[in-house]
Amino acid sequence: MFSKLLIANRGEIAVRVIRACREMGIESVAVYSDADAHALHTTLADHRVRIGPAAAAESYLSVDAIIGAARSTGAQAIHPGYGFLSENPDLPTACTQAGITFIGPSADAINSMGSKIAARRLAQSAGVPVVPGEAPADQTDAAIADAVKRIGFPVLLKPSEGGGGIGMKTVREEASLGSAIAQARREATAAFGDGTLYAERLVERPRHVEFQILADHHGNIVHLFERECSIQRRHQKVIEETPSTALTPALRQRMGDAAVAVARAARYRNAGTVEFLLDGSGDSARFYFLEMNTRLQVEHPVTEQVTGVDLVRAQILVASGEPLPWRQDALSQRGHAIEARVYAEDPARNDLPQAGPLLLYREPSMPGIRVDAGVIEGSEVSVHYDPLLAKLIAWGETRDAARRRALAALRSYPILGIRTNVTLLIELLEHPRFIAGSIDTGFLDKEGDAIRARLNVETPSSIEAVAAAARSAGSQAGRRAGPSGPADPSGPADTTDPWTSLRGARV
Amino acid sequence: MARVSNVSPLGNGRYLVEHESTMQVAYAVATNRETWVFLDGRAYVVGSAAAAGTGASVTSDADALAAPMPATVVRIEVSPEQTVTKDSLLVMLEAMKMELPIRAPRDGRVTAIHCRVGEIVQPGVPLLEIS
Repeated sequence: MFSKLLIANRGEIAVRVIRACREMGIESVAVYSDADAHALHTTLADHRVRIGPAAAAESYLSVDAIIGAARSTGAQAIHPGYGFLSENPDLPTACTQAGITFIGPSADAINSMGSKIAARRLAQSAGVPVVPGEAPADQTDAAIADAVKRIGFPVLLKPSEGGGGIGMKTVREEASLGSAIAQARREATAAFGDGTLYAERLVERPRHVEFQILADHHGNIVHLFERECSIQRRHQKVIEETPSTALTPALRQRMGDAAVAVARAARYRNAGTVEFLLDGSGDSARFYFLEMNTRLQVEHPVTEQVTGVDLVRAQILVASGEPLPWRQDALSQRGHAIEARVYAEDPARNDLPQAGPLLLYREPSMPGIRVDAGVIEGSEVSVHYDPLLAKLIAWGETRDAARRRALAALRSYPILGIRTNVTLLIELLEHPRFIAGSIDTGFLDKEGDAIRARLNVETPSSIEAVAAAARSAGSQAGRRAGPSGPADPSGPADTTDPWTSLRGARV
Repeated sequence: MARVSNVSPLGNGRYLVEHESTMQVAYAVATNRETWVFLDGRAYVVGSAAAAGTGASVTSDADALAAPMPATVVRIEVSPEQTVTKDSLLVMLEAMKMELPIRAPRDGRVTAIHCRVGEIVQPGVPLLEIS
């Protein structure tokens, strides 16, 4: 096992990994840019290393800076989190050269899955269906336009190297094709340093259902069931849950088998996610391989809540050479989990990202609620990075119980100083279509305006009265606050931990 | 909404709001410019122009066009004295990995440009002016 681990990330995921290290008795090394000198992740680790200025390209995206920080601190392993360098094969390659363990798949596996073209071929070779599409070798506007016409409208243009919905453009008719290609290419270049575009047939009203997989270095691969991620805006996920209301046991088994087949074909190691588009629901539904994310996902906690598996801990153990302690039939889903992503953005103003100080920030603490946050009261939310502040995860015995817990928790989650999407999340969780589970990836685009219209309300007289009381109490109220530490999400230590109890029972 | 009968500070930014027969806990922070209040899943900003947050788009009707949030200037699409038509792209900003186009609120002429490519601009500070 490693004695020191560097986290090549920031925000809530860096905090999540640092906490896992602490539980496991591993020293943690945080890296930070100038904008993050006082950020939560920077101050929570055992050691910290400055890796550059605020611009991500010169700090969190710099392989040299990350490797340099690992060398100077003697870190034996690097956890990449998600985003930033997590799916850049240069990092595992540089790790290998420096004799450092990369907590994730091999550079080869990242390469084969990072290119959507190669990933599709691989899925097809594993007998898993794919959506019609192509990335023309000739990347001129004209060649891409030709490809789009071959595939047929509506078409989705996306960065071949990308992820996270950045730079994706839907094109419904030829008239808007030219400007869409130009904009998609610009955003792809800006975000990933590579403007190569992939064009794909848009499946109308699909669900986005993904399967978590875990693979060790001994040939064992399991899946940890699905996550339903259909509530998205501009292809950015907002609410995720598991189980999916669209899956039946038979469909779940087919999709799980397909996910494992893709991972096996890629000689995949560590945690990954196989994304599918689901057309329809139930036993007769069709599913298409979309892509494989070769990293931990933002929404991994919902899987942890229903399976009882700590995915970050599993990643670290697998990377250290441990075999997976369970076989597929030992894994099951218990209850239901829903994750709501709390973003620093203003839903009433076109989801405009917000920056500023968190004057008051109090996380809810109640049964079945877990908050994974990258901020505390007093944190400064900067303009430089992703606007995700925190993830609120609710677990309940049933979907409705989880939903009600999420609602109760969001209603007691005051965040003041910058605008957030908390009220939007409440509206989403109360929406009749969400309650009925009849959602698809177009849900927020279709219902978004009506939902947003309900966000603007008259300021009630009670609010004016509270504001008056706060003003007379002075502006010190928020600054006196003692931050309420987020609840520790980990379960109790127990001696029947499969990682230890099955050690030596290797098959 | 029931008439408020009493608001009492509980300390640490918490306030007890008592109605005729029920009560709730609100959270509030006052700054020099505005007061933020949270009650039952909703945040309010009292005493600032921003509080009237309607569904305003990035385009502003003011003569001086400003960034809606701190952002980096990626491209400037116009030059001084250039005539522009309503909704034409003037400046492309980028923040948090997203492009934020600043478009002309109406037909007009660019009278001044106050930003440079690569500059980080703050909200409320004019980027350019249109007559």
